[in-house]
Amino acid sequence: MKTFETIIPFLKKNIGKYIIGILLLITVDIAQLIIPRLMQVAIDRIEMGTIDQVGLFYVGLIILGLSALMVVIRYFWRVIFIGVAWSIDRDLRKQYYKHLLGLSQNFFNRQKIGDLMAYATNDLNAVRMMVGFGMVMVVDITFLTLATASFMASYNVQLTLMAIIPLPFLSLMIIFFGRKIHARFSQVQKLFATLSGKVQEGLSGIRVVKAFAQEKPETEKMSETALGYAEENIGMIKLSQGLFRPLMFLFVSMSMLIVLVFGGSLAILGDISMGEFIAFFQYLGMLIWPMIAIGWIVNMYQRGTASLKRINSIFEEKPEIVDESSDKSIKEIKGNIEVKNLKFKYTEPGPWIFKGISFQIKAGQTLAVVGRTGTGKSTLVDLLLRIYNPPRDSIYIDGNEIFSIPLNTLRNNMILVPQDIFLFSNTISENIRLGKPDATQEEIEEVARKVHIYEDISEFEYGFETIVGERGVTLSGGQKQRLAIARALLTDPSVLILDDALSAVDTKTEKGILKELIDMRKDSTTIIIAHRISSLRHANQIIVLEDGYIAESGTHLQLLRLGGLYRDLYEKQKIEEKLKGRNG
Amino acid sequence: MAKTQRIISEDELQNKIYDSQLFKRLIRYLKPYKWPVYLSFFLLLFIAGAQLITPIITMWAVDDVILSNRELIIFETDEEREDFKQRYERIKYDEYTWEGRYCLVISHRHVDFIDPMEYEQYDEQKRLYENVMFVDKTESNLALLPPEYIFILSEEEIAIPRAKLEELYEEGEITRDELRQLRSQDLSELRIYGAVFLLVIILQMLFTYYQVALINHASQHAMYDLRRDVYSHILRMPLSFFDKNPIGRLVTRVTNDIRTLDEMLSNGLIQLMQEFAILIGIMIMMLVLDWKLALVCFSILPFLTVLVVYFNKQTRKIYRKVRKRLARINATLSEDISGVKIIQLFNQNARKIKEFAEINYAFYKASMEQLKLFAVFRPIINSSRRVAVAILLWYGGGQILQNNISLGLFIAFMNYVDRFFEPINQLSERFNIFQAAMSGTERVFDLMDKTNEDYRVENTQDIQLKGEIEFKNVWLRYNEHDSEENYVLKNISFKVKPGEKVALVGHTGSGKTSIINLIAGMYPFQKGQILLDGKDIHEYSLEDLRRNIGIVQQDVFLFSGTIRDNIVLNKGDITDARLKQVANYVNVHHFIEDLPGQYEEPVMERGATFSVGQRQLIAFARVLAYDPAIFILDEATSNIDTETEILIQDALKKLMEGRTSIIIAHRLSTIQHVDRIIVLHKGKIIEEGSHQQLLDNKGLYYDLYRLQYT
Repeated sequence: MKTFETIIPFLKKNIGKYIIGILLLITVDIAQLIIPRLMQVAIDRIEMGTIDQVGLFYVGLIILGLSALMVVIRYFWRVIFIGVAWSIDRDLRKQYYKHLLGLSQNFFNRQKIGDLMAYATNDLNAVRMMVGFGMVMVVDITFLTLATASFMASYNVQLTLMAIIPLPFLSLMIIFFGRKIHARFSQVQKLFATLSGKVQEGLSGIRVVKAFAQEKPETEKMSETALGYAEENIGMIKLSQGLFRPLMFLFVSMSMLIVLVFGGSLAILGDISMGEFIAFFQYLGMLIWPMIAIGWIVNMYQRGTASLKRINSIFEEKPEIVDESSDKSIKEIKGNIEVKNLKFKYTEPGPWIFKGISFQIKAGQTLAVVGRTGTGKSTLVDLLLRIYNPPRDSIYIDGNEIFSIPLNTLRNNMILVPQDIFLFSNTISENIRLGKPDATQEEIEEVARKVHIYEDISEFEYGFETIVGERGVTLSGGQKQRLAIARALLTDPSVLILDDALSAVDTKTEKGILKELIDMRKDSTTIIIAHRISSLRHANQIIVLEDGYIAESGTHLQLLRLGGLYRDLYEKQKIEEKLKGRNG
Repeated sequence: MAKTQRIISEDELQNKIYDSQLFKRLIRYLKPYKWPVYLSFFLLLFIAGAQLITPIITMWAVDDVILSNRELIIFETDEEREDFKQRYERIKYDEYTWEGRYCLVISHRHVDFIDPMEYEQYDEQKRLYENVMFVDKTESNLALLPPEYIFILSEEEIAIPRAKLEELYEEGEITRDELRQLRSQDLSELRIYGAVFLLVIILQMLFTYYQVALINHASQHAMYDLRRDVYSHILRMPLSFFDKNPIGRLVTRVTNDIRTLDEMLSNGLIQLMQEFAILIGIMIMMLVLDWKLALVCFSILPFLTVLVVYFNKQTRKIYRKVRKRLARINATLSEDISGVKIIQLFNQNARKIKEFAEINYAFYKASMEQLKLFAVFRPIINSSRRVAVAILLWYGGGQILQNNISLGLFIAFMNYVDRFFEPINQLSERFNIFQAAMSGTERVFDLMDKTNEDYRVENTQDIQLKGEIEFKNVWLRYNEHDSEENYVLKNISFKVKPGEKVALVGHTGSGKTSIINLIAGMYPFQKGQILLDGKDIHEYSLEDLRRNIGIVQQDVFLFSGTIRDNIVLNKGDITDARLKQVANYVNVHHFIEDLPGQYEEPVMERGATFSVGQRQLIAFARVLAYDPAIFILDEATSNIDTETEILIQDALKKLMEGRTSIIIAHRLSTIQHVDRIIVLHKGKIIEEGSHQQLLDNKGLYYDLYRLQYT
């Protein structure tokens, strides 16, 4: 029963509502059962001639009254039962989201976004169905089946027993077919995914398709899959609508048939009255729904628990990056960073990213990190921010071992502008405000000027209130980068890290921004990772990463004089500048 | 801008559920399958008929067998009886003549046809006996029944009023077994009705199966045809179309949009028709059986219709609201999971959780609204059936009391009323299916209306090119509406002799790729002329053109399938020996031989399991298998291990041999193999010559060389 641990607290919290709901449900069921009995009495009296038009009118009126009562009560049990299910759905989704945000980057690297989203929607949906309609059905079925059967038995036990013979088969059949159809449906879904994949592939390779005049063969290839999908779909529909539904109908009709023939015989022999004979049909109609629902419940329960298990698997994930050994008294960071013989690899059997690097930055200094792609520049800054956990005793900030600094303090004071800029589909000002929600418009504008994006923003129709992203304006790479830097600068962090955050900005603007940066950050630490060496000139210290070690380190001039990797990179970039500047 | 417009137009579509033009185009796809469709409709009528007949069987069983509601009229003379028969032609009867009594037995249901005055008269003259039942005229039966209660009708049958028989049974004059014996005729007749009933439901099941199978065969195959057409249409669109339309959207047209259609065809439409047929059938049956009673039952219909229409409108409104808010949850989840790093880096967890809680709550609120709407209307619609039953009991019961209708008819009406209300519950669901399908159809046919690339099929000659290429003052820009300065190729002129090897060199954006695109006829250009073997490129059919050109792209694209498929590319006439020869020639044979499946080794995820170099070698083999006159290579920029690099260079040398070759070169060794180098910069040709000449020039090439090749 461990699966249900997640939802049991919610169920307990709502126990009162559930009890009221159950009582209401039973009341409705009783009202529902009374109607055929009223009909029976009326018909028997008609047959005997002991009722007149007025009497019939009253019986009709009672039926109307009961129907109205049922409408009212049904409203309430639906709102109670299903409303509780919706509130569980709501609370679980919130809890799920909260849990997700606490998990570390490693977890997100392993998961597909689509899966994580499906848990919060499709799977929660299955769980909601289980605790909502599922619960209703369990109560309804148990009571309605027993009550209806006893009402029927009060007329004639033998006929009752005979009439319900096909019904358990009906439930079994629904369970059986439910599974079969579900499996078949998954198969259809799988083929559909294959089909989508095929189409996606063909269209992605459109250049090859065209270059080799493969339009026709490519269509044939897709057709094969599409035909397979069509056939599988036909198979599933044949099963569900061609076989399952008519069979269900057949079983139900068999019960009716039994009542007609055997009930009819009993009526001929006077064992039951005509009213009772008719009431039997009606009660049978009421029994059929629970029998169908039993099948549903079994399937709903299976899907619900499977979904709940998937959701639980996420809840069971523990965040790797935790504060277990932090010293809560550390509330701020000055910006002295020391890295001592840092060694790191992402996964256990895996290549070393760092085989032992050491360096030191004092508060107020600027460090530049240079190196080819894949030398671990981004990894280095991720470790400084504990996006991944570094080994113990290798990173010290203000003399404190990094694990002793509370995550809150660390991330409030050290801000990273990552390589892949992520902006929320929100207004520009909201995006800039991310780290400092109470910033004034003036502050935002000021910081936008500092990163030379103010002009760009002013040109948009809605200025700072322009929505960016999919549903709004598309920003250029350079604009995105400048916004991201503005967002970081607004928080005025003790340590600012730019991970290749100016690569899409043109050289002139970059120079301007760097000038502002140096000016603004005289007293705080800045770490810059850059490809463009021209932008690193002013750094107090430059380290060149290569093969997991620091290959070269020093100031711009020192490194140029050294004539190594740095010098080589520098020369190449000079040629590139020249080419770019050249006019054809 | 375009994006926003799209959103609006998709919203507009939501309100449309029927568009006759679209529908006609859709139906056209069913044409090839018209016989299954017709047959399926035919079966549909049978199924509807079967659904209508079962209540009637029950009615007959009750009236004629269980209750034995027959009236016996005794006439004094044969003439009188003949006269009666002639006056009431519509009445069905059984005729008996026994010892001077001329009898007619009439079903209770037909009593209505008799003139009430006349009927009254028969009753007064004690010539009318209501509710009589038949008993076999056997010795034992005759012994059980007092002679004053019975009428002998024929050699085999006697009649007795039901009331008298019940009286005898209640007074204990006859035992249960004797009653069973007396009514053995009815009991066995009841079993016959049962058998008919069983037959009908079994037939109905069989018919349903075949009906479903037929219609689905038709609609799924029609949708398969449509899907094929759409896909083939997309593949024939010009490349510029793919630059403008994200692949994801195009995939949706071929997959999801058509899926909404097949769902409508095989699910919504057929069931709607069936339900409609049954609905109409029930109304007709009820009216035929007893029009007054039918109208009384229908009296709640106007009220119900208004309710259902209103309910559907509300449902749609709220459904849209729920979908919108769910979409927001999805969007937020997707965005925040993608941006989780930023959220964590900026310490914004608490705020984001609060924001999500609000969005989540908005969805909950909308869902609760929907729940309450359903909680009000569903029970009301359900109960409307009971209202009909109450009315039926009050009015119909009165009719039974006045002997105007039979109990069996009453039961049949109850059955019909029950079935009548069933489809109403599913109306809004069907509506949604229709709506989705219609907007899907619109999008699909919108796409089908876009013009294809002109393949110039009429020019196909299976021509074998020699491989001479000439560009004469070619200008190209990708977007027709761009300004003059946005030309990516500006006045490009050059000539390549058959068998000559030329390298295109230049910085990013210099126009190298555009030149090879134009040679393969991938884009239309604005000014100038391109000649192949001295003939304008537009005079060749695209197929002839592309068959003579072998392209290897920078990022080699491998299709899923096997290695063999990827080399042969559906060219069926290549033998295994030739395949191996080709692979061997371009140095990829050994690598393939080492794979577990060799040439049948499956290619996964666009060849991600192979290295860049291996993929390039496979692409070389692909070109060689086609043996084109012109070879075009856009060399990979990424690093390739030395061993593979040597294999590639060797293969390249062989491949270029005797073939007009145009290479976008990124490697020094490649560049050293070619006869001539064309240096491009910002869409113009800057320099031309051999490697050494250009180096000596100390111009642009010299710089490029130092940047890229050292």
